[in-house]
Amino acid sequence: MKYKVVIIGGSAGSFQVVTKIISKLPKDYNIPVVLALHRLKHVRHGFVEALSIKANLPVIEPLDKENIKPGKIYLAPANYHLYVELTGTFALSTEEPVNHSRPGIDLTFATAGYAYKNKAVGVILSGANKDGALGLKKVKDYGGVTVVQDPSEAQMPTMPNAAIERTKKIDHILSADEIIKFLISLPKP
Amino acid sequence: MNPLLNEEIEISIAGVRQLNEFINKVYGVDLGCYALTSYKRRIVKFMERNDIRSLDLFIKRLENKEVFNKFLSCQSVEVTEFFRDPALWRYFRDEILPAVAKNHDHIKIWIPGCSTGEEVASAVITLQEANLIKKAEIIATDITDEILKGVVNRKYPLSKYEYSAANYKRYNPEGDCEFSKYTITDKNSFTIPESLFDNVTFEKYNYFDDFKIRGVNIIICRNIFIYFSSQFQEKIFEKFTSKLAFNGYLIIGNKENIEWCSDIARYSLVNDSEKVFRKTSP
Repeated sequence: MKYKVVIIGGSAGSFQVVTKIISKLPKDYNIPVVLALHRLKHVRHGFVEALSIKANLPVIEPLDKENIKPGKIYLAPANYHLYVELTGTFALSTEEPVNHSRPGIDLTFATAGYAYKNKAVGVILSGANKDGALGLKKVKDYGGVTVVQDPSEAQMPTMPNAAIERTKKIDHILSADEIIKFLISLPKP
Repeated sequence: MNPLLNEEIEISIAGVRQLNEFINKVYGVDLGCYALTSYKRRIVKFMERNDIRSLDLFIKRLENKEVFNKFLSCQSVEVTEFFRDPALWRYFRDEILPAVAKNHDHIKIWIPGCSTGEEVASAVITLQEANLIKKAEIIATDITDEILKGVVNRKYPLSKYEYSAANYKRYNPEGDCEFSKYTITDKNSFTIPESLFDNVTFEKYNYFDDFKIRGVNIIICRNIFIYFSSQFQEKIFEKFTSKLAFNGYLIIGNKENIEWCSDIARYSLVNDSEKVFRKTSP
C-alpha cells in the first residue's frame, strides 16, 4: 500500500512534538503532510515561519483550491477550516468553529479520510480537548491508518485518550519517536 | 453534532448531483456552482435541522418552494466576526479610502454576500472614523430576501461581542475609542445603530443574473469565493471586473486565490497579505 497523505492533528502541548516530527522528515519525503493544529484565531503570522525553521521540507499555509503536492508540509491557516476535496485540492471555509476551534481538526481529518480512503494516515497528538477524535474515527471508517500519541507520554493526554476511546481499534499507539520512525517507514508513492 | 461528521446522513457525489439536477430542473438555479465539501456540509446541516433522514425525502420536500427558499438562504455562510483581519480594516481606513476620496466626491462600495452583515458594519464604522460616511453609498447584497430581512436589524448575539470588541481594538490600537461606542447592548444581544446605516441599501443579488450596478469604487467580497467552484469563481470575478470603476479596489479573503483567472491581468496587487487588488486597466 502506498500512502498519499499524512494528516497530523494537535492542540495544547503538541507544538514540540510537531516540530520534532517535521524536523526528522527527510528532504525527499514525498507523502504530503497536512497539519491541523489549534492556533489563535487572530494571529495569522509567525506560526508557519516557526515551523519552517525546523523543517527540511517547505511548510505552507495553503490557499483555497491549492493542489496537494508531495514534498510539502501544509499548515491549516488561522481562522479557516481546512478541507480536503476529492479532487486532491484544499478548500477553505469560515463556517462556525468546531469544538470551539477554527481550524477544526475533526473537519480536516474527516474530509481527508473521505478523499483518500485507505491511502490516508491520521495522527493525533497531545491536546487538552476532544477535537480530532471523531475525525480520526472517520479516517478509520474510510479505511485509513490511525495513529495516536501515547497518552502516557503526551503533555496533554485528553486528546489522545478521546481519540483512542472514540475509534476503539486504533492501529498504532506510539511515542513521538516511534511516530517519526513510523512515518518515515511508510511506503511512498 | 457537526454536519460533516454526521454518522447517519452520508451523501454521495451522485446524491449531490441528483439534488442539483432536481433544483435546476424545477427552479432553474444551478447549485453545482458551489465547492463540494462545504456545500455537502450545508445540505446535511439543513437535513438535520429539518429532521429529514434521506436524500430522496429531501428532494421530495424541495418541491415546496418555501423549503427551497430556506435551503437557498442557508447557502450564504455566516461571516465570522466584526473587524475580522484588523490589519485589513486599518489599510481600508488609511490607504484605500483616502485614495478613492482624493478623486471622487462619491464613494460607491459594493458588499456582495453580506450574510449577517458584519462586514457591512465594519465598513460603515471605518467610514465614520475616516469622516467619509456622508460621501459613501454602500450596496450590500445577498442571494435571498430572507437573509436580507435578517441583516437589516443589525442585531447580533452577545456571544459575538467580546471577540468583535477585541478585534476592533486590534484595528484601532492607538485610538481611545472602543467598539462599545458603536453598539447598543441589551441582555442577550447588541445592535449597531441605524444612523450608521443611512447610506446603506440592501438588495437581492444571486451571482447568476446581471446586477444593475456600475462604477463601483470598492468591492468587499471576503471569504465568499471559497464557497464556489473554480469555474464559478472565475465567472464572479469577471462580473466584478465589469462593475468596478477604473482604479477601483477589490478586496478578497487573505487565503483566497483568483490569481489564476485571466482577468487578473487587469489588476495590480496592492496589498499582498490582505489580498487587495486595484483595477489598473479600464
